[in-house]
Amino acid sequence: MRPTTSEILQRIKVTPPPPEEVKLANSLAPGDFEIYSEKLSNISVEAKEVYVRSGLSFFLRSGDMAIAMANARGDVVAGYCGINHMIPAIPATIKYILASYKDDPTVGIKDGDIFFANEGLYGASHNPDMLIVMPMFYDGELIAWGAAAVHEPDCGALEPGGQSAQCKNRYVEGLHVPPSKIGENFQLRNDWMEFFLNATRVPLMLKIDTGAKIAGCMTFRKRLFEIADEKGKDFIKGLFTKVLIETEAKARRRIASWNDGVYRVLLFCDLAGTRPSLIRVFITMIKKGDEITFDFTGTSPENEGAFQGIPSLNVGYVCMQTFTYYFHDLPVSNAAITPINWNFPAATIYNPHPEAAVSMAPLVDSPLLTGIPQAIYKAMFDSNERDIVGGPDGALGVGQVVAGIDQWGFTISEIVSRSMNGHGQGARMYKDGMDVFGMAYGPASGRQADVEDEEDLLPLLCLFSSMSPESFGHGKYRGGAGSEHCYAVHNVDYVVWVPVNMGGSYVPHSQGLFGGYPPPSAALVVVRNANVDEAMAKGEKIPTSLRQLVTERPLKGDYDIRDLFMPGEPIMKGGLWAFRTGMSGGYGDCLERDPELVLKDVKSGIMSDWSARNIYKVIIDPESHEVDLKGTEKLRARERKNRLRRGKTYDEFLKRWLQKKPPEEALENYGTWPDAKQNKTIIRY
Amino acid sequence: MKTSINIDIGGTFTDCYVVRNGQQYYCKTPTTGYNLSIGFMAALRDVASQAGISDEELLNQAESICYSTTLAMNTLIQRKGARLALLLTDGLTQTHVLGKAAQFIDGATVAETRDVAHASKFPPLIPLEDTVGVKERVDCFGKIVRPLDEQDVIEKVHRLILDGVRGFVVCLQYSYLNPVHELRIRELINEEYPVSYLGAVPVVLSHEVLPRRYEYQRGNAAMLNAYLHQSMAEELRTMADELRDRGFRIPMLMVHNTGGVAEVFRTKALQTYNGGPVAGLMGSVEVAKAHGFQNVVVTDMGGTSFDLGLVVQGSSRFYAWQPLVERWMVDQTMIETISIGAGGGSIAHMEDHPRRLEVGPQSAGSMPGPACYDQGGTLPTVTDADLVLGYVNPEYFHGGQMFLNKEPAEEAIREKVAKPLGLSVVEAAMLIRRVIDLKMGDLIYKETVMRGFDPRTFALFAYGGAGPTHCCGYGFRAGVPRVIVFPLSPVFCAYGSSQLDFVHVWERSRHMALLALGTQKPILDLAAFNGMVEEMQRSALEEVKTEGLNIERVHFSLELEMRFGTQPNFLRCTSPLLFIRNDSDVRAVYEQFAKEYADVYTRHTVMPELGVNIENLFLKVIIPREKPPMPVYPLKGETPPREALKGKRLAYWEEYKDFRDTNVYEQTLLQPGNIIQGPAILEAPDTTVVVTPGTRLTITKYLSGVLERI
Repeated sequence: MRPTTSEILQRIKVTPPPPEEVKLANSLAPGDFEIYSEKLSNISVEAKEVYVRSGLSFFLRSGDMAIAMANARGDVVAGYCGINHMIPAIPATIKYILASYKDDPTVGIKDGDIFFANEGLYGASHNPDMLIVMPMFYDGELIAWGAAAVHEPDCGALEPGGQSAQCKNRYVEGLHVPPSKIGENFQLRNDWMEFFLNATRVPLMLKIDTGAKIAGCMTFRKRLFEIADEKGKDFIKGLFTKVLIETEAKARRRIASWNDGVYRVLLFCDLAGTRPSLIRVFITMIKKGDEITFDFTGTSPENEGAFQGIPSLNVGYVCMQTFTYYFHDLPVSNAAITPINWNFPAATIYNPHPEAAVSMAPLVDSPLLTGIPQAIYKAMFDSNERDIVGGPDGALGVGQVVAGIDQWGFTISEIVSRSMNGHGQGARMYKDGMDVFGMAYGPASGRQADVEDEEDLLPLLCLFSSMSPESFGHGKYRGGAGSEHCYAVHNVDYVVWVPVNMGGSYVPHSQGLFGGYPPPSAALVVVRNANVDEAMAKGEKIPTSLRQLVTERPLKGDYDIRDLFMPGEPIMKGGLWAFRTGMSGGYGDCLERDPELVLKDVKSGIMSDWSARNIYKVIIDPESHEVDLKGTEKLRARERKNRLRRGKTYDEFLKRWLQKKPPEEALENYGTWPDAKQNKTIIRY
Repeated sequence: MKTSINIDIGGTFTDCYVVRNGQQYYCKTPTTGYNLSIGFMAALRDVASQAGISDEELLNQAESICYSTTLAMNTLIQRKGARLALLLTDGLTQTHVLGKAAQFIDGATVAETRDVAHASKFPPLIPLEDTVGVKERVDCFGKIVRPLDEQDVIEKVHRLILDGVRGFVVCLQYSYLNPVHELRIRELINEEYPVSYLGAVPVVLSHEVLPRRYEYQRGNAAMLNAYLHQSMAEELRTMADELRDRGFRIPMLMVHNTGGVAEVFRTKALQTYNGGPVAGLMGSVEVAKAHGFQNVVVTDMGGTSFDLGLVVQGSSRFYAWQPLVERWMVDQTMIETISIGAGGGSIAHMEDHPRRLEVGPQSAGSMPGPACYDQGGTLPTVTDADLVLGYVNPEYFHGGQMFLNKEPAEEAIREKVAKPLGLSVVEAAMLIRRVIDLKMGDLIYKETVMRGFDPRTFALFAYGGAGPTHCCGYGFRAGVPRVIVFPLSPVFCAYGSSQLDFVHVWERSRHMALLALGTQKPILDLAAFNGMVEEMQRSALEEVKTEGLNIERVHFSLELEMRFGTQPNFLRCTSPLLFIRNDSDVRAVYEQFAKEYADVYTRHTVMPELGVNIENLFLKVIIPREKPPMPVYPLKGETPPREALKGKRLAYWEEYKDFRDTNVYEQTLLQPGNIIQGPAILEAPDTTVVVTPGTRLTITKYLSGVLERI
C-alpha cells in the first residue's frame, strides 16, 4: 500500500535506535569511533569507485550518482554522493520495504535479495532515478543495507531521457516501479530484467548500470563483514548508532548556533512544460533552537503538466546544498537532516495529486536549490561558519538529451554532460564563485567529458564550449561564470534532441545575496537547415561564441532563438543548437567591488566594458587600459547619492509593486494573483 | 659489472647508492637546490671515500650513472622558464582552463572535495591571454572536416612572438588519430623562425608527448612536458658538464615513471616525474624475488607522506588510473604509487563535531617540526607520540645528530589531545599512533582489495625513516602476515635505480571492436590490430638500435586497455598474445580481460553482450640490464651477538596497557639468523624498528628483518 506523504517524510528522519543499541554505542572503546567511522568513509569511497568504474551511463561516468550504506532500520550511516538529492530516497525506500515486506511470506527479506525502486509515491526520487537496495545479513541477522542510485538516461517515457514536459499524467512517464524484489541469492531474476530491458530505449545501458549498482552494494557487504568478523556484529550496531547520534547532534548544534527567526524567500519559475508560464515558489523557514521548519505555503497550485515536485525529492533538493556547504563536514546521512521539519501543502506543485505527472520534478525543485540556501545564509551570516555564506550556485540546468542511432550504428539516448556540469558557483562572502565549477546539484563530482569523449559517443561536432561572458550575478564578489556550448549534428542524418529545461528565459529563479545581483536570463538557439559541414570544408567562418552566433549569424540556416522550453525535436545533419547554462548569483554591493577585479574581468573578456561602467561604476581608461581610480570614486559617490534619491519606503514600494501584474496568459498555472491560491479545477484522466 | 652509481635527488636529501666490485656503499647528503651538482658531487665524494678512492677514480670506473629527481617539479610549480603559448582548436580554446569543470577535486582528499565553499580551481599552466584558437577541425574518425587556415596560424604566432612568447605547445582535437595539422603548424613556425636564427622557438606537439584520446589530459601532458623540459635541460646540462670535466663520458640514464631507465637523450621530461618512488617500487621487485615473495606491498613512511605501491606475481604492473602530475590530469602511462599525508611529522588535532581525533594530513614539517624538536612547535605529532611511548631514543635521533626533548612532546599531547578526550598523556599518545596506523593500514587494504587481491597473500616492505617504527601497526592491521625492514631503507629509491631495466613504452589510441555487440562474435580487424603492433615494434627496435643496445635481448609485452561497450572506464590487462591471428586468439584475449575485470568489479558487471572493445594498446619494450646482486651473508646463530644489545628502556605496549622494560638493539650489529622476540626496539642511525609484543623478528641472509606474528 502506498505510504502517505507524512509517512514518507517521517521515514526520512532517523528512526530512534532501541536502548540496547544506544548502550552498544556508548560501550565503544576510546578510539574505536574515530577509527571505524573513518573506515566506513573509506568503504564508501571504495564502493563508489567500483560502482562508477563498472557502470555505463553518462551521469554515472561524470560522477552524478549516489551510493550509501544504511543500518538495519534503513538509516544512512555512510555514503558517497555525486548528487545528494538521492539520500532521502534511501531510508524512505528501505523503511517501506521493512514495513511492507519483512513479514510478508510472498516477498520477505533475505540475504542476497535485490530490490529496485523508482517511484516517488513510495519515497523514491523521480522515475529516471533508479535505486537498488540490498539487505545484508550477518550470522543470520539483518545488520545493514547497501544502496546505489543514478539518473538513468531513459526510462521508457514519452520522449527520450525520461523527463517529458508533454506528460499529463504519470501513466505516460515510463517505468514507475514501487520497491520490488527483482533478484534473489545475489542474482537478478531474468524475468524482471527482461521486463526492465523491454521498457527502455537503451536496455543494455540499464543492464550494466544495474550490475554496477549491485557491485557497489557487494563492496559494502564485503568490507562490512570483515569488520564484523573482527569485532562482532554488536560492534557494528553500536558503531552505526553512534554515527547517527553524533551526526544528528552536530547538525543540531550547528543549527542552534544560527539566529532564530522567520526567513522568507520568494522565487518564480517562468516555465510549466512546453510553454512559458509563471509559477510562484514561496519558502518560509522558521528557525528555532536546534530545529528548522520549511513551509511552502503560498507556492503555486498543482497543474496539469509534468512540472510538479515529489516530497521525498523536494527534501533531496534541500540536501544538495546542505551536504555541499553548511553540513559539508558531516557524514552523508539522513541523521543530518533529521532536525528539519517539512510542510509541503497538498495540491501545490510540491505535493500534487498522486495521479499527476512528476517526472520533471527536479526542474521545478531547482528553486529550492537556490532559495533554501538563501534563507539559511541569512540565518547563519554571523555564525562561526560565515565564510560558507554566499550567493546561489548556478542551478539553471539545460540538460541535453540526444537520442537516435549514433555514428557507430548503436541506439543511443544519452545526456550531454557538458550541459549539466558547466554551472558557475555562487559568489562567496570573501571571493568570486568558481567559474564553470561542476554541477550545482553535486559540484564535488560534476565532470564535463572531453569533447573527444563526447563526440566519440554521440554523433555531434562541438563547435564551441567555453565560459559564458556575463553569465553571472554581479556583486562585491561575482558569481562564477556558467558555460555556453554549440553542437552540430555530424556523421548521421539526424538526432532527436530533447532539451530538458527549467525555464529562466524571463525570470531567473535565483537571487543574489546581500545586494548581489541575480544571474541573467538565458535562451536556446537552434539553427535548422544549417550548412555547418559545407562551411567547415570551405574554411568559412565558424562561430566561436553564442554572441557571435546570434549577432553575426555566420552560418546559413533558419535561426530560431527560443525560450528555454520543451519539447524536443529532430535536428537534421548540419543543423545545430546552442545554449548557455548554470548561471550563479552575486554577493554584496557592486559598488564595493575592487576596481582591479573589475578590470581583470574586462581584460579576460568575461565582463563587458558596459557592465564595468554601468553596474560597477568603474572607469577604465581606453588608452592605458588601467582603472581611472579618481573617476571611479567620483562615479561611485554619485551613484550612492542617486540611490538615496531613488529609494522608497517599504509602504511606497509595496503600493507600486501591487499595481504590477503579469499578463493573464502568464498566470495560467500561477493560481490567484498575487497569493497563488488554487483557482481552477485540475482535470486528471 | 664493476661500478654503478645511482643518485636520487629529493627535496631535503640527495641519496647515493654505489655498487663497486660487488660491494655496496651508500650515503645521504643535503640537497643543494641552488646548484644540484654540488650536492651530487658531495655524495660521490662521500661514497668514494668509503671505498677508499677519489671521486675521479669512482667516475672513471663507473659504467653507468642512474639519476632520478623530484626537483624539476618544484621549478614547474614556480612557472619558471620561457613564456609559452598554447594553440588549441578554434572554439575550444578554454579546455585547459575549464579543467573538465570540477577541476578542484583532482588530487583532493574526500574532505577537501566536499568543502566546496573553500575550494578553488588552480591557475592554468598557460594563461588564456597566451592561448589562441587554430582554425581547423578533425572529427572522431580522424577525418579532416575543416582544413587548417595556415595564414591565420602565421599571423597569430607572429603576434604572440611580438608579445614575448618564446615557445609553443600545440594540442588539436583528435591529433592522436590524425596529427597532420599539428605537424604542419610546427613546419610553419619553423619556416617563420628557423632554427638557424636566434629567434628560433621550440614547438611541443601533444600527439608526440602523449598520443592518446582526451584533449584535456593530452594538453596538460604537453604543457607540463614543455615546462619540465626547460628546467630539467638546464639542470642536466650543469651536471653533465661537471661529470664530463671529471672524466665521465657516457650519457646518464634517467629513471622513468614507467618503471625503467633510458638514456637522457631518449627521455621526455614528463617521463621522469615521480621517478624516485617508482625506482623504489621497482627495486622492490628484485628484493622480493631474492626473498621469495611473489606479492609485496611496498611502503615508504617519511616525515610528511606515506607512499605505497604493489608488486604482484613478481612484477609491478599497476599504472595510475587517473594519473596526476601535481593536480594536473595527464593520462600518461605511469607506474602507480599512492601517497597520503601521513608521516612522522603528521599533526594530531581534535575535530570538533563529531568529537574525534584526526591525525594529518597537515605536517609540522622540519621547521618548526614536532614539539619534541624543541624548535618552537607546539602541536603534537606522530613523532612526539613515538617519543612519549618510549619507542624513539631522544639521544639517537638521526644517529645522534639531533636531540629530542620529551617534555614539550608530552605537553603538546596533554593539551591538544589528552585533556579534550579525558585520557592520560600516554593513552592519548597511543591513540595518535593507532589512528595514523589505521589510516595507512586502511589505505593498504583498500588499494589491494580494489585490485582484486587478498592482502593476506602479501608481504610488506617498510622503507623510510618512520616506516620501520610503524610497520607492525599498519602492516598487520591491513591483514598482511609478514613485514620486512631493510638496512638500506634510508636510500632505497637510489638502490631501486640500480635494479631497473631499459624500458620504453609505445602506445597507440584506437577504438577496435573485439567482440560484437549482442552476438558477442569475434569481429576484431586482425590486419589493423597486428599492423599497429608491428608498427610499434618496428619503431621500438629502431630506437633500441639507436641507443646502441643489443636487439637480441629485447623482450616485448603487450597491454591492452579494454571495456565493455562504451563504458567510461577502461581496464588495462596484459594480453596473453603479442599478435592476434584468429578467433581463438580473440577469445583468449577476451577471457583474460573478463577474468581480470571480474577480479576487480565482481561478476555482476561482466557483460560481453554490450560488445567488447579495445581502446588503447601499449607495447612495452624491455632490455634487461645487468644488476648488482644483493650481497649475501652467512647465517649465524639465533641469538644476537652480545654487543648488539644496547640496553633496556621503558616502552609502552598496548597489549599490556602498560610500560615494560624493553630490550634495545643496534640494528647494524645484528647478524643473519638472529631471532628477536617482541617487544623489542632496534635502533639504526636513520630509523627505529619497533617489534611489538607477539611479533618475531628474524634477520635474513640479506640482513633484512622479517617481522611475523607468532
